[in-house]
Amino acid sequence: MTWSLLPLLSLPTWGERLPELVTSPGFVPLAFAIAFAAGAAHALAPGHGKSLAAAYLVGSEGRVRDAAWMAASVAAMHTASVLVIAVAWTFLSLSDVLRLDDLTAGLRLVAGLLVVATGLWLLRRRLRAAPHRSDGHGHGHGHGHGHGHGHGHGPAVQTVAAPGAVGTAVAGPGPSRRPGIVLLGISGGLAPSPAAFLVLVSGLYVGRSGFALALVVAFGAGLALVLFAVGLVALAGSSWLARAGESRRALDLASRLAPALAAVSLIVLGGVISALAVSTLLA
Amino acid sequence: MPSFVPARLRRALGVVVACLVALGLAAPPASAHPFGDPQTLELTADSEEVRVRWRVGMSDDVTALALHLGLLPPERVMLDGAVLHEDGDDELLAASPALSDYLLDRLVVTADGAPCPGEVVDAGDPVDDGVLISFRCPGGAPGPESVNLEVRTLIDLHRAYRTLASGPYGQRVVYDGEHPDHTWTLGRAPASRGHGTPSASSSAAVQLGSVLVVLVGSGAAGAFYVRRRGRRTEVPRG
Repeated sequence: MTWSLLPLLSLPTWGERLPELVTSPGFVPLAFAIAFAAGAAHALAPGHGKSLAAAYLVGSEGRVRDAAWMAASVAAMHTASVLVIAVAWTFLSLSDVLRLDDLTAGLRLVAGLLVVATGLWLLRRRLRAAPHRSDGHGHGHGHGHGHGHGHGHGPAVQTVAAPGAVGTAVAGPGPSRRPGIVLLGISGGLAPSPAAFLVLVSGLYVGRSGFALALVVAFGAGLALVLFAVGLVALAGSSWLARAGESRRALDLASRLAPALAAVSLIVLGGVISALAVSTLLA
Repeated sequence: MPSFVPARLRRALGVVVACLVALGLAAPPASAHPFGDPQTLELTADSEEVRVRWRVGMSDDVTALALHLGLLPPERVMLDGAVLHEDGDDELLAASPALSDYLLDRLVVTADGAPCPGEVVDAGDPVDDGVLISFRCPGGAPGPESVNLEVRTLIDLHRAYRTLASGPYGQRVVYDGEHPDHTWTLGRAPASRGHGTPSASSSAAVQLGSVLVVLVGSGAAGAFYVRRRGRRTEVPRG
């Protein structure tokens, strides 16, 4: 906590402004804009699954709509998590049963295990797909020819290609990418933001719960926008790597290894998150 | 590897990233307070006294308050300004007269404009059980119909602190630096029922339900639109 330094700063943070919006909304559209900005600023802070989202999208050779799905999943889960915990805390005396910091540590443990499971699943998929891509042409070849037919069908068009086949991508079974995205989204949104929680609890206390929940939704939209942008950056980066790799051997190797490394990264990061959560619970 | 990002979206990406960088530069730093129980207060009363049970919130808040009161050395503040809770901080704070003085200075009860002297009855566990403070108002039985309670705890550490307070008849209020005062009805049920009553719970359910219905409806409409649009773009290809 940075209480000793924060008073030195003259401007309140976006998150600090949120609960004030419930008790003194002022100009309502501005309140939603501030909530949106607070969500985006919250996502820009360290953590919040940005690296996990990027790793997964690279590892699964995702598309733009996959980045959108992941961002939407995080926002939806975060809103649901804030709603359930705030209602339980206010009306069901949740804190008499379980302290919120312990609950958070538990949620982080679940989130970490979900990430590990997703990484393991992704790695297994990569290993299974590997024999099918031994023709040495890589992604650029097959997809380049198949552009006219393959697109427009969404993620489901990804099929395991026969070597050299025209019109196919080589990432593995298509429909199976979505569950991993949703799992990671759930993982990223399980633990609520303190500011969003305080907004909804304040709304429940002062009788403006609907408005407060709408602010939390706007907060989630800001959060989702940042995660979506991070996903796009990751996809653009991996695409650039692949294109550059066509002419440079080292980059080609990197682009080939990136998905597997991303899967391993998920496992490691998920393990670290789980270990930290366990240490908090045991402390 | 194919280019998974269409050219149009790549251009949009540049705009989005630029906006986010601008937001990151313009935004004040995010608050570093971790997720946990907020500061709470319960007010109860009978004909003899008004009782206030104050809970500090999280364990980290105990350490921050102990530092603020000079009970812990400044070395406990790390270079980045963070403080971490350690075993013994709760006991140190609870046993100190400084905590009682602090609370009696920052929790002020008045009835009909006259102050009600307070006394800390139990400060054994500021986190879970809370600190119990008894206020005795002048006039004796049957006690005042209403009291004003001023709450300024922890806002001297940081202005973002809030106190979620509950009282008789399901009354609820949020104290902060801008709203440190509230008058609580004690003698009979207030005309406007509090936000913790069954009617308030129903109101919350209606409000939350309405927002959720709008959300789900919007999502369903959006999904329907996207699917329909997708079908239209596929037909000419077929």
